[in-house]
Amino acid sequence: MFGAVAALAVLAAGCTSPEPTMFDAGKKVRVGAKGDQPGTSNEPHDGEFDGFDITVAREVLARVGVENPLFSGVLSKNRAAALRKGDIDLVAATFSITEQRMRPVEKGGEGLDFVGPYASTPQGILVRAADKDRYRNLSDLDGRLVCVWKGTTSEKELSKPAYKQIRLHEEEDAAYCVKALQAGDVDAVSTDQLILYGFMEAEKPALAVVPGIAFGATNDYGIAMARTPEHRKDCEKLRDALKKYVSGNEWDRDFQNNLPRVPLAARNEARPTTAEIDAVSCRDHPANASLD
Amino acid sequence: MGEEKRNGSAKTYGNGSFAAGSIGDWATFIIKSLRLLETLPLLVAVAVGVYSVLTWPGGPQSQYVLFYALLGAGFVLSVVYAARGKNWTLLALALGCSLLGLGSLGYTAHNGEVPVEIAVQGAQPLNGSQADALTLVMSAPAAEDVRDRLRIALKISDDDPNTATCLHKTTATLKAITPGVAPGEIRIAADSVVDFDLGGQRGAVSVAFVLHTEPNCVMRLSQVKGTLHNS
Repeated sequence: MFGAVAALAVLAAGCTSPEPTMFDAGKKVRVGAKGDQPGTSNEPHDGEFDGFDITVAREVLARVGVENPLFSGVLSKNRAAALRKGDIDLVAATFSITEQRMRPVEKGGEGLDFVGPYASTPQGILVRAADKDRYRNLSDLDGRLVCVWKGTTSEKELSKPAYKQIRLHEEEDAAYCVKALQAGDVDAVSTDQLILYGFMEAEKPALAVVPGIAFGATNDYGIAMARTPEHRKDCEKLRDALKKYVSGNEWDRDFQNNLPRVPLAARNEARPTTAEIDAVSCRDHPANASLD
Repeated sequence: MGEEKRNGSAKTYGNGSFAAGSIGDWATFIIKSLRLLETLPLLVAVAVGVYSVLTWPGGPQSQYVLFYALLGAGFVLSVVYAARGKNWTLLALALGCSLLGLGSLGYTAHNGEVPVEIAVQGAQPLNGSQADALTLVMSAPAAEDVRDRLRIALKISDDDPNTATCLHKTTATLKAITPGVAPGEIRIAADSVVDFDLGGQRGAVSVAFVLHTEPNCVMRLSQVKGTLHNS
């Protein structure tokens, strides 16, 4: 009796229309982005976004049939909440993949699924171009005033006792730090090196990334979405699209177009492998490393 | 053989004669014996249950499924037998289940899994830029806990889960310091279980742990669970 009911239920489920997805025709996919990071995620004019994050999001979404995603600005501190509340569908805004963000909400995490990494970067130092030759390693910053903004990897890294000789100046975001650097109020700005190369290009020839200084944890950027059963399927579609994107020449082309000042060695380090994408995409927890 | 009847009482004399008093005693004895027999399997089941509580060997509950099943069946059959009585098959089954349960408990106590404490010696967190090492030490187990193999479940975590994750870029090498332990060296991922053959080793066991990750990753050996077993 129960078996028959269960079989009927399965048949009924099979006859209903497929579950709606984020990529259904006619649906507008809303993507949260940053508006103040030239080269990575920038809004030069109202409603117009550009940068490598934006390009990657467009390319990957196009591969799942979404042609005109709707970009809007989102503050770093609001990214996870905006996804969970459903204000936006995706975030493509130099959003680092962390274990805490991947962990389910019921286990104290942020319950996000990531598609990535689509780029990786260590921490770097941006200085006034005229001062570039003064700095060859981090110890050359001893006694100097370095601008960081709260919650960034650079802020955490440079707060360690090993760097206690470096004086830190905290601002609200990247744009304030860059203005302070140009005004001579600080000696350097520190954050993800890729972001700094974007500012270097935007503010040329006034600012320069110190090529020899790369430090701290490597941030892996991912496109984030709230984790729900139906979003997991969407996530897997985007993951497969990203793997195809990075396997061809498009990734190099788009990286070069958006971040032309990044040296070849740094670009090679920024480029993800499909194995890395598999290891952290659409998972509650990063996969184990391969032992091969 | 003669027989007298006086005032309603009867006496017998001669070979094969018997007294009514003896009959009563025997009858009482037989009835009492039968009742004891009726409750015997129940008493055995309860005794096995009490013994198991008093001498519980510990370890994961899953290894006691057979014991629970046999003791439960023995108890239920004992109750049914006590209610119905005089069913030799039921009696045999009830006693058999309880005694097999006892045997199962004894087997598990000598061969079952025994959780053991693994001490982690060395400074944490572990930095990817150095070949940081830890030593995992299992103290000598009690004589009744000695087993053939040691299973260690390890979890390596990002020291700060709010920084970029390095879990998928991290491995470690476990190297047996105690002679005779095999494998002598094995490479593991961040979330792994390793099973060592102790090679007859009955004392403390030490294993060196060396982390391999990217230079800027800071990791922590966050969980180490040891289990001695024979299987």
